Amino acid sequence: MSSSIGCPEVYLNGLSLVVPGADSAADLASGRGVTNPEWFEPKKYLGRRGFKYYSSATRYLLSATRKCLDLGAVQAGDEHVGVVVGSNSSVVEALTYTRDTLGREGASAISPMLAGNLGANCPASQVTVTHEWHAFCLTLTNPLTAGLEALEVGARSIARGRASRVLIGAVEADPQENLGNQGAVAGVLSSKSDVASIRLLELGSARWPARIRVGSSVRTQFERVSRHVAGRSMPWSCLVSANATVEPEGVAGTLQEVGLVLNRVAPVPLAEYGGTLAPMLQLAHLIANYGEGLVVAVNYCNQLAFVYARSASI
Amino acid sequence: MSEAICITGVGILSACGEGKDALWSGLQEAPELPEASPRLQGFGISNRLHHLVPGDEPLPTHMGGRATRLCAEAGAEALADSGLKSLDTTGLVVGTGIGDADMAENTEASELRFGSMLAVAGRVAERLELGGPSLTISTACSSSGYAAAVAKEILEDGACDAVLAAGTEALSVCVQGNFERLGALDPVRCRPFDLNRRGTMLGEAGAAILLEPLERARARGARIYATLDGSGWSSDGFHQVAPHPDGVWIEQALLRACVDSAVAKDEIGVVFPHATGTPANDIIEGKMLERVLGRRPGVSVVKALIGHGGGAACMSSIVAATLAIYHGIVPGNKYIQEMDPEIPIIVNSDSLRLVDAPPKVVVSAYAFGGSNISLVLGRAT
Repeated sequence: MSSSIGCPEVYLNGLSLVVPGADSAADLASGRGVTNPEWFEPKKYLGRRGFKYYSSATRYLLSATRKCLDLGAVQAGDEHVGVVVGSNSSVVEALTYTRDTLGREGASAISPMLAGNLGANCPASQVTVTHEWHAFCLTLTNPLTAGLEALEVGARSIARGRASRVLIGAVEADPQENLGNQGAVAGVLSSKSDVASIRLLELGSARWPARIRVGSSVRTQFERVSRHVAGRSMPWSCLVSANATVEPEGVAGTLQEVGLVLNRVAPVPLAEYGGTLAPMLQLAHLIANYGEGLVVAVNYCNQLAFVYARSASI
Repeated sequence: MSEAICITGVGILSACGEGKDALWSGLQEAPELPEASPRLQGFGISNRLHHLVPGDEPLPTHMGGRATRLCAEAGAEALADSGLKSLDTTGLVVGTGIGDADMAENTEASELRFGSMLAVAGRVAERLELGGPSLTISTACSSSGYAAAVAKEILEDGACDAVLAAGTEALSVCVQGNFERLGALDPVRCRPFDLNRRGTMLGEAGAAILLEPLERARARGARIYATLDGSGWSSDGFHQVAPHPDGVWIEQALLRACVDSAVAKDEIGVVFPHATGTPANDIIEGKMLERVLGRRPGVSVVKALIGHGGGAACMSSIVAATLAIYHGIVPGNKYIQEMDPEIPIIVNSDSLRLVDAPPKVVVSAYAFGGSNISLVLGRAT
């Protein structure tokens, strides 16, 4: 069975990247690589002061949001803006600090300025605080897929009138992982096409079943995608976690069974990016370079999420 | 008008013990004082009072931590309670604040790995063999309220036949230490709205409800506890750990819930408030309730009994509200010794008969970071 947003008129505007090795979606294919540990300069986005006590994840997401604002995709102070963000590691830095401080010196040594960072929702919440957005603020945390799920939850919220615009995104900041698990992607959902728009044509999520049968939800959802491309070759990208029960070839096989002609886009150099960032960067890459694309992600719990999107200018 | 959604199964593990009957029995009594947890020793935490779920069986590491276990067991109870047989078309939405933090806090077997701590819904879906989509939501103390609201929306989209909505939180050394550092813990008990309250008291819980379209539930002859009529969402956009002092955005959450549910304010007869026991927060919430609903609705405070369950708190209140609607009784608040005169609502000590009150019940939750939600429940007619 599936969760799905049929085809509400929802656009993704001002998609912005703050990740190592790429300043824009166009950079993702350049192969600059994720090598510079000093890649992030918060003052570039956040000014000279005011972010000292924010976690790395909060700084990344605020910076990506700043780019959305600068592009005109959303306005500060608009009380009808909501936020939905996916993240797997936004709390790891604060949890590590708190755990180590408690172990060494006890609760009295925890900095009260840092105590407020102990929540997976802190980056998204700080975005609402900084920009005075009041519709709602959600953080989703499924491994790998949560960024794509943020698109789905955000689109549903637009369709139901819970917000006029929704800042969606993905943010990761795991100090124990490689640089590719650092950074943020953000964009703004709206029923209007305005700034560098991407039309979200199909969104879905499900659990990958033990057997794909005719009429199964995954297959039914993929059939909806096939209606949009009418037999022509479609660029796509597939991310499957280790330990998932399906291989990328299995996903491809199901897509082909429903009539999709696939033009698989090699993920290199995007393979260096991890967590919830990876599928979102794949989407940015496909749109920037091909004008459309399907991104499918399956995590190690066999949770699947996908988006099929197309540049609104096509 | 969208399709009516109802609750056909409930499950909960709390300091009262395992199962909905244990909670319901506890709600009829004066709550007991919490005890210090030995699991909090050795971390320089002076206030180790915590409402623990009895039992301490760990899961094998690959199956997750204690929050996953609490969630899976509450979910299993709700599914069994509902009598639902086919789970291929059942989805899952889990709310949790810190997830399986115990996996990361145990430094000897640290699993502080990217993505593993908050992967609760995936693990629970695998364990319960649920075939539908599954989401994990983390908005701190309002997480499971949003889990219920999003689960309802997934159902209304027609994408599932049923959705299990759950909340879970287990003891976290880091959270307890953080709350102590912030001066947010009461040294005696959780006593919301009482004049002598000095903070909250944390507690573990796993809580779950099974949601189905009302007509479908009736068609299969399911027991219908209550309806989930709608929800109102808002964000303070004010501060990471302090609520907006005027309560304007928690008020908006309540008003939006009324609109979403097509319910007039005078139809609300009972409120299960967020009510943490934190001095300033209770005053803000109490004043907001009086401003919007007057002094008329009955009030039932669950945290005084089982502590503040963080990401599970709202679902624990939803389970209590569901049982109250089903039994026609609103549990009283026998813990109150002296009502804070600054709080302009009436917090009834004794139980109330629900048939004497207007039919709708509100459950609210607010959070660090300012994610607010109110939900409206009702009797199935």
